[in-house]
Amino acid sequence: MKVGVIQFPGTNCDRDVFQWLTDQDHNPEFLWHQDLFDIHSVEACVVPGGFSFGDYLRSGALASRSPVMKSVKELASFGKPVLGICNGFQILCEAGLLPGVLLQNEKSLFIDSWARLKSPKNQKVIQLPVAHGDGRFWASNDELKKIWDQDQVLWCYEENINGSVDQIAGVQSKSGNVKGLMPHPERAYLDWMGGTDGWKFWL
Amino acid sequence: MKTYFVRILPRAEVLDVQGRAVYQMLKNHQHPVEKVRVGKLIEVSLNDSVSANNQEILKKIIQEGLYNPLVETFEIEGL
Repeated sequence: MKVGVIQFPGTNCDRDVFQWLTDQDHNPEFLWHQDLFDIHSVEACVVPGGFSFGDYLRSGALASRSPVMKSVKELASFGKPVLGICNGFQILCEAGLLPGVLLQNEKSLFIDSWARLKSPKNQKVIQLPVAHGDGRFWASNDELKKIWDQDQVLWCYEENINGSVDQIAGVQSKSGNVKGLMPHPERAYLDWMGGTDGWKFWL
Repeated sequence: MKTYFVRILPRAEVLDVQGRAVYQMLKNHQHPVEKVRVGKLIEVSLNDSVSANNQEILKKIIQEGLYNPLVETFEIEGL
């Protein structure tokens, strides 16, 4: 599958994501933040992690208002898969493609560790690395209820490492094609990486 | 050119981690503090040419992304 990988100034997981997709027989292509792209030129896209625009203003705020995001929104509106990882998740929330917002971790510390995640749908448990300072998922009570009622919660932390409301680690859009999570599947898909739960994680 | 200050604060119902840390430090120094919140102040200067509807322009700028209504409130100083 041809998959766009968005690059902003400060994105630093772009090459990992590129390799992750390549190793799973996809055909990734980098897309630059200042350019619009033809939405028919890719079948899906990833917004990778990092510190786009130095996390200035709010994490993901400036990136979410970049030209390339117009194309990402258009791609999403056609029902094509869009995945945001870590800073990419923050960007998709700021862009309004996903509900909620990611705030500074409850204990103000940058967390760099492994996290066990549980799917509320089928109780499946996986383990993926996390590396974030602003990973505390937050939504108002009304919005949170809607997120649960519409089956939008993808993953919850088994142990609440960052203070996220309802231990939420990842959510999806109402339509289901836009997904975002703080943990990094692209950092755990081969044995030598310490875990393989990122293999065939998406697409 | 006219200069305005956009004051952004976290909403009361959202845990303000920075405010809490500063509050704790001030308490540790035995200052009589009740509450601390940390936000940001953004200075915006507009062209003279548009002074007639500066308020609308500023609001548009702010609503397009200077603040996140889910977790923040804003006030404009200098209008």
